[in-house]
Amino acid sequence: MLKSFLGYFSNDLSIDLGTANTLIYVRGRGIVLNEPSVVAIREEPGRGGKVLEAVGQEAKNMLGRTPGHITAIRPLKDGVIADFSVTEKMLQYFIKKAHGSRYFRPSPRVLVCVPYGSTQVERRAIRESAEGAGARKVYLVEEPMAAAIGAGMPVHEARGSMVLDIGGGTSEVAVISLNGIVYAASVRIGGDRFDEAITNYVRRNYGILIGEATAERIKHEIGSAYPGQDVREISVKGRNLSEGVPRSFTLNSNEILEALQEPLQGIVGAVKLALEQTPPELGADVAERGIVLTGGGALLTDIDKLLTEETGLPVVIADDPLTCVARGGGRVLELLDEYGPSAFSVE
Amino acid sequence: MADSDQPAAAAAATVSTNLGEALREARVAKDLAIEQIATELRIEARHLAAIEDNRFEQIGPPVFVKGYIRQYGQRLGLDPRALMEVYGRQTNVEDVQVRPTKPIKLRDERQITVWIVALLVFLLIAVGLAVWYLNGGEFKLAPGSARNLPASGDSESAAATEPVPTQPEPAATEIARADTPSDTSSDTRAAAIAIEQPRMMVAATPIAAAVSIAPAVAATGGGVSRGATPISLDLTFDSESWAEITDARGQKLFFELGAAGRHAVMRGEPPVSVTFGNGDAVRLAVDGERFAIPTQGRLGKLVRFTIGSDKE
Repeated sequence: MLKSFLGYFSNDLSIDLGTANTLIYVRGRGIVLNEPSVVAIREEPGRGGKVLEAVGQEAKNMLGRTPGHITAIRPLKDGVIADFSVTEKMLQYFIKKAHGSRYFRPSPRVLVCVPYGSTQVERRAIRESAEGAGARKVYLVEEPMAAAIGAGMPVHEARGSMVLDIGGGTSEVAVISLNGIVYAASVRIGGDRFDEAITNYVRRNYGILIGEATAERIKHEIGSAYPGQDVREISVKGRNLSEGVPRSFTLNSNEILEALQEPLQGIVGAVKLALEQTPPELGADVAERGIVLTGGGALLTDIDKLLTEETGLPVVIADDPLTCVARGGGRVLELLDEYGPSAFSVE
Repeated sequence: MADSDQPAAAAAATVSTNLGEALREARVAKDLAIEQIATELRIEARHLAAIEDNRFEQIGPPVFVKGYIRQYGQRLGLDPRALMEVYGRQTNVEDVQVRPTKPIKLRDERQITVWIVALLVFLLIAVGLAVWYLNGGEFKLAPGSARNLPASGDSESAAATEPVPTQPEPAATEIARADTPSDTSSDTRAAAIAIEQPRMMVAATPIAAAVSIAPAVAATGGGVSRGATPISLDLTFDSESWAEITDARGQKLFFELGAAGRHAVMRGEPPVSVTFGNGDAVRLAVDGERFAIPTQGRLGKLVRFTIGSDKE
């Protein structure tokens, strides 16, 4: 009674603080914010240094297109904070946007998902930046756990469930049973590495330099992880390195598939290693039902086919894979009141 | 692909009504066996069969069911989104409700606190009882608060305090003491106390005496109190015993260990409270008459009694 009364006034937020995108899930309202984790900062010596120019999508549009006094940066790298103060500012902006700035409203309790392999220092940085951004209480939960819960996997059963979360900076594979992580590994390969691979491929094979945003567009439109029947093409523009002038050229999906081989093999290797390290009973459970894919990387065309082919196991993509982690975090927050933080190894 | 377009379109028509049937039709139209697709998609054949029979709950959590349906549909050339729509209509299976694993509590923590509280209450009662017992079965106020006035003090205070010990109410005692500086008020107050306690038959006599004597005492300005006739006590110790004798003024007439064969005589105003450590070892005579030491209310050999409280 009292809890529901207090809950009416305070919003609990679950934040998926990702390298590429930050998502905020508000209890009872669902995903309320999904923006790129990009901040644009303007140098203003007259006003005491740095001023926030833009955050989120607006800032992302500025990436690689900024004049000297504005820098558009991504404050997170490989799933962890690379620039503490900028991350704090960004979180503050997002929390304010999601939570609203109504008067008489207590500051929210915030649950932040952290990569499995993150160190104590990295966790502390995330905790402190969330506190600095105005959180009343900060909980940390490991990303694979949140992803599995968000995907709707029966993590509480005495049965192995394998989840593969391909994010922007990291990919995490975990085997979960009885609300706990049996085996997990985090590789620093994600969407960013895919973009990088595409940029490098284009430079190597065409002698043309493309930007981050263009590489991402190529990945979204024609990127695939497994040879398909139809070949798609895209026309892109970049700077020709030898001539020094912008040129237009055409790429097809088979070329991108080739470009993505290296990072994809890294992920496949992590999954294979996980299967190797999983205790046999849990391995059998995983083999029966399959692996669940979450995260933005799951949207890469035919990545499930690649993993099925490589592992010989069924691979299914969760509903709305991008928001799984944030939704799972929200679910954990709901259960937190009822059962206390120890139930899902929340810190 | 061209040959599959026709059956796919036909299947799409039935999709809207029956998901499993639509998938089966599409598969049969393509002349594929369940096992063949199972090997291709690495999904167990029984799961695919369960989908075709619309027995979704047998497969497991919805995340897998949906994943299998999507892949199966894709393989057969059906639109996965349309399949998902039908699935949503056809089933009302909710996502898995994740529950935390509840640890078994062998002993309820709340129960422990209840026990601690109960224990504390019990201890408190025990301590209270012990204090009561050591005080001789009654809660006394700080001893001597009313009685420690000097025995040979001025007559006014003596006259005013004389009736006090017989009164059970300490408040009245306080009033009597407070009034001592003024002669007349002390008299009237003493009288008032006497009126207030008419049922105290014992008290009536000394108070009346005090009332009548007090003015005279004040006039003469001295002399021993005449509240009550002092009595003499003869103690003869047959064997060693602790003895404690206190008179009405609170003066300790005797307060020591009496050796065997000792004889002691003392005078004091009644009522006199007597405590013997060994009641059988002492013979007592009051005003020369032998006094029978009561046998009732003894705690072992210890005996307490009062002389002159209701005998006179």
